[in-house]
Amino acid sequence: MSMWLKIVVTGNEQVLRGFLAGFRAAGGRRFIGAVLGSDVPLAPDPRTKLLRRLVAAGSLNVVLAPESYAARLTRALEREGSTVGLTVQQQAEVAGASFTFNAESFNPAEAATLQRELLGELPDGVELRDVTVDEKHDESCRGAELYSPAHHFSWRVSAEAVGPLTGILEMHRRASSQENVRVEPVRLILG
Amino acid sequence: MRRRRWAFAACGAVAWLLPELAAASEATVDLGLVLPAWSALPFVGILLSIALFPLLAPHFWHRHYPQIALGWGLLLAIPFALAYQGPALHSMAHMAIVDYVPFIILIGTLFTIGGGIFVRGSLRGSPLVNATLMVIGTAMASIVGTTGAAMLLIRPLLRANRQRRHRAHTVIFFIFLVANIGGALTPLGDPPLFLGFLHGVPFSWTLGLWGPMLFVAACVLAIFLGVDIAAWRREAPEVRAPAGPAREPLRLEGWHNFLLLGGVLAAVVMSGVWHPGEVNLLGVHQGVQNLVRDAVLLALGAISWLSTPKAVRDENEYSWGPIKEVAILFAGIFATMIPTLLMLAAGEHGALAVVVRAVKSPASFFWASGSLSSFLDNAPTYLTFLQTALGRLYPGLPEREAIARLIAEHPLFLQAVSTGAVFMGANTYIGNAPNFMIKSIAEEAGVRMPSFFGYMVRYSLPILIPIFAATTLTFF
Repeated sequence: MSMWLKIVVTGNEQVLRGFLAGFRAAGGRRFIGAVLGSDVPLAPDPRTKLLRRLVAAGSLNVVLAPESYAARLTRALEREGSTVGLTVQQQAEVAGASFTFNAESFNPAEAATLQRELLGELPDGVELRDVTVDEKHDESCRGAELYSPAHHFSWRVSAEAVGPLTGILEMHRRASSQENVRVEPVRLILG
Repeated sequence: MRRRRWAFAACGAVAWLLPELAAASEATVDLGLVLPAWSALPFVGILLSIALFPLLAPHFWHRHYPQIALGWGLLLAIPFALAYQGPALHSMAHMAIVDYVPFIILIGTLFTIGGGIFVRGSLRGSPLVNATLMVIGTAMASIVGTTGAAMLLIRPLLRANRQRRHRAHTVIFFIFLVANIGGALTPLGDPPLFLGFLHGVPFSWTLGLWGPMLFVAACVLAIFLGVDIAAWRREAPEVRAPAGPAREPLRLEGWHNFLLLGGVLAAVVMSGVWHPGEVNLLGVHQGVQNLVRDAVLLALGAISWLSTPKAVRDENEYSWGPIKEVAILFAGIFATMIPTLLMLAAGEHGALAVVVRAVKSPASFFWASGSLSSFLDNAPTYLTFLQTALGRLYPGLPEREAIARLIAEHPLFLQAVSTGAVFMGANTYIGNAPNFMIKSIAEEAGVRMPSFFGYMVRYSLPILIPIFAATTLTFF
């Protein structure tokens, strides 16, 4: 499992975005992969005080970078960032990530697709915890009804996906692309 | 064997009641003046059951709604008949013969004929195509009824938008326009207006609602176009591409049912203009034209049933379920509604004088009938506020005469009650019967529909309520 680093940077997000683009351009393919926290659905870090989050709103940024070049990126930010108002506040190892999801479908074909996408072949290293699946059939409810519209088929699932950051981000993207899946933001598991 | 015993019991009861009914038809007792306010409780109970059970316990309601409706009906009918005997029996017979049976026949006929038409093929779910479907559905709703138009067009709408990621709003605006607002122009459009027709509102009078109907429909459609264009821009490029995914050409199956719909329209109009005389049924005077109309409607329904290929009905997932629901639930509604209507018709002399005094202006009638129609079925709500208006303006006058004077002297009151009941059924999923049916069909097609409160908070409150406020300022 490749390790990632979470780097908290204060400063203007657009400036940081430009800085990362320049860093990648200078480093070539080796440096592809760093993600700006605002581009992925990250849950707020519960350890960051609410007041600080409010005060720093708009200027507190998270960069997720593979361990292979995170140290070089941090050094570049510390050396050159101050000239454009960027300051590294903290960094931490990301041991993994997780998110919870639940889905509901009243269509058997769609339920089969959801089952395949959510419970079938998972990204490398991702596993599901607390999985509950509830499938119900009631043939008496088949057809259109005006005053007592109960579904003849229902399929519900809820679970928590846990694993390496890249796998979880892929899984989150996959779940979010399905209309009837509700996904919670990704929580980072810090090392 | 058990059924035969029931039939014997029913025949025995009718034979026992006949002399009572005949005597009661001459009775002068005005029940509206003597009934206590709590006799309205079974009516409130059945309406709340219809509103809340599908939300709170859908499967329980699905299995037991006949017993619940019967329970509320008997809770009213038995003590009512025992306490007031002849006049009570006459009221119930009147409600059954003049309101319930014709109502069920019309709804059943429209549903049978509408369920025999199937639009095959698929369209590209662009904003323009969606808006066109909405316009067609809104226009059709006044001819085939809101339920019929919804049955006919909801699946083409869902097929057209199958590839889209953002599509729930199309279903919601379809509920607004096709399942509710579009039904305002004729008594065939929405059950409340047909009840008004049965009570003496001329068929052509509802056409005069075109002003508020066009205003509301145009506002809703304009907002829909804005919302749908914004959602369309967020769709993936392959969905928006003009070629798009492969589409099946459009084809109309069971088109001959449109001719039968023309027959329904002719029969209903005929019953409003032809007056060959009356017959006495169980002490109730019923116009011959109404009996002829009902016979023609039944015949048209039978022709549709026999002449439409089964495959067409299968495509529509046609079943008798909705008709059974309407027949059972409205038996309970009509039975329990009797004391309420009588008390309201008595105006300030009845036990519900507080209701009569509370609503005064056309605007207050619009909002009162609309608010209740948002959460309770709009047909009984319409009748309730029609009687409130009559009780307020013409207490004690025979109903048909009072309605004729209401139309001639205070038409805004009837316009307000009619449009409030029809339009505001769109405010919630439970405001009008087709709303829930459309939600259910859309969910089974994979659309993520908002919850009960999500529908209100995200759609009806911010979109419909301001439009209805503007309608009040413009028309009432």
